[in-house]
Amino acid sequence: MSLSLLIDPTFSSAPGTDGSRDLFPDDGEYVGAIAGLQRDTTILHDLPDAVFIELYAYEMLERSCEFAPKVRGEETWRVPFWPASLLVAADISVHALREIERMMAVFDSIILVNRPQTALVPESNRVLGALRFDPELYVAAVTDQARIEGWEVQS
Amino acid sequence: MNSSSRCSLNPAPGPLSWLFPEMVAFEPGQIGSLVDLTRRPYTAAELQEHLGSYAEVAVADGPRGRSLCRILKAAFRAGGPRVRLDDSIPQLESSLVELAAAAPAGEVMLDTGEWRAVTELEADQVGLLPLRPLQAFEDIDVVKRAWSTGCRGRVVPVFLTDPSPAEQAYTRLPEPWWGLLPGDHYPDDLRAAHHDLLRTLWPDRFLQFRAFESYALAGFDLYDEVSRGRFDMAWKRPPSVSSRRPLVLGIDGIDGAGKTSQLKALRRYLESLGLVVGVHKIYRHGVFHETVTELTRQCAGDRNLHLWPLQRRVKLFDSIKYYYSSVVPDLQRCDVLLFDRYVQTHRAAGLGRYDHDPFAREFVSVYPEADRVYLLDLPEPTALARIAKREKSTVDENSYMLGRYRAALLEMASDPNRSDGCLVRLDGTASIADNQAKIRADVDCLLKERV
Repeated sequence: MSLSLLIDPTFSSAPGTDGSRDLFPDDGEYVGAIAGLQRDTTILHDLPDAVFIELYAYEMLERSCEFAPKVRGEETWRVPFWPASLLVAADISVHALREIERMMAVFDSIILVNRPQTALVPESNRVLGALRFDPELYVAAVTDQARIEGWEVQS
Repeated sequence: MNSSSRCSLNPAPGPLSWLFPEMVAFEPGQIGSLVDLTRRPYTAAELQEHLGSYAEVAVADGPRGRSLCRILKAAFRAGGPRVRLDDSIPQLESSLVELAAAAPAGEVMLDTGEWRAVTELEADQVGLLPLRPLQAFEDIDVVKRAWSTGCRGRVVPVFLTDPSPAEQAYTRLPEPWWGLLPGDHYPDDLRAAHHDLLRTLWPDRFLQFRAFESYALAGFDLYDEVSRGRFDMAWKRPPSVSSRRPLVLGIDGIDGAGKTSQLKALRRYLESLGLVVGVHKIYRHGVFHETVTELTRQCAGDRNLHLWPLQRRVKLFDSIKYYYSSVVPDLQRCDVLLFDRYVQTHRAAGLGRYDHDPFAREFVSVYPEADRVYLLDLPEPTALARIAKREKSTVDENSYMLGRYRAALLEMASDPNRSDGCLVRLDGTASIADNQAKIRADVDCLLKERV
């Protein structure tokens, strides 16, 4: 049994073509709720960025708790952003990510796909309801994280 | 229009000055094009309009500045000045750290910047006492010894901020609380010594401090909430999804009140009238419930209290996910929507624990106003006896917390302004048949009104 995580901020345009499991699919409840709030309310504008970044991280946790018991053989999950790097890029130093990460599935490997900064904007709107971080800082933070953790980096 | 100009911004006073208004005199004076929120209040809208005419806004670096900077960056996301932190703008917290590094032990700072021995402070003088991260006990002892010898100056103890999270932290204080409290380094023995000091120095403000401390330890960022001015903004209910709205009914009450039995009986009745009925549970079970319950359990024993607001937001957001995936389709399809618990449960959960539940009002606002919510009221000992047979209990299934939730629901039922006038109390100890008869009679009236 082997579980990999693919961090790629452009995967939503071509979902599932490589057989991986999308943790933030367009037709999922989470993305549907963000889209609904965007359409119907001013909540996404009025509330702090930290609220939605933590909710994003928690969605990763919840889906990992749902899917982890079903993993057989090799499996790859896909997410657009790495939560810790989002927090760095949004200058949020007080958060509950450490506790969320402790409850999350353990990945045998993590693959980071490098994309241009412009690719981050539509994906942030889709899963965070707005651009809630500095794209330049995010790329620097996630690249740094990949180097420290020894993740595979693809361009 | 100052399209090429720069504006400096000193953030508004925070929790330290809320408790000790004397601290405003210690804020650095106005310089250049500084917008000084410590001395002139702006509403969020006024500030946004004023700053919008500049090309760049430099915010004083410090705990309050970092909070304000995030708010302004979000406010100007769609266009406006570039917002950045500037550590060259004098700010109380920053200057304190520098000054205290050279401060003689046992001395307090006056608003003139002079240092004076605490024993020489006069009764009407205010002196600021920096509590140093590794020597806070020593600093507290100095003042207590001075008090025991009859000194009566007005000493304001201020923790020097420490932004680095400790590995074993059991709280994560949002930045603006720093100063009033010492970041994450706030072990029980330091809390006790600090309480003792405040009780001695400021007995009339001690309860207010404990209220602030309670919010701070639970991770509430009241400074952000006030500064964001979200209550001034265009917060509003979403437009109605459809002109054809079903009758919306809820059954609410604490665990063990008998909600499910009433719901099933009411559903049978409504369907017997030929109505299309959708049944919903906005507090879901399954993976979500197991995960968030595990998170909540980490708060047991008053540890990891910063996780409490997170689990509230997760629960609120799950109700939003459920609304868009399951309730919205039924708004078109059904004549009646029946809810096993409604938004009042969310309100009670927030009120019952801390009397404050940031963002709950905004999140639950997506749900349509109910036509009626029946509150099955039950004394908590009866509720506990009924739920004792369940396999796993939650951290809230105890007499105290059930009592708090019950009190919050009863308060809403007694105040039409807090429940939109739709919450009706029923006696949860009465028979199912008796309560069902009352509910059906009321629902018949509601249905007639719609015809």
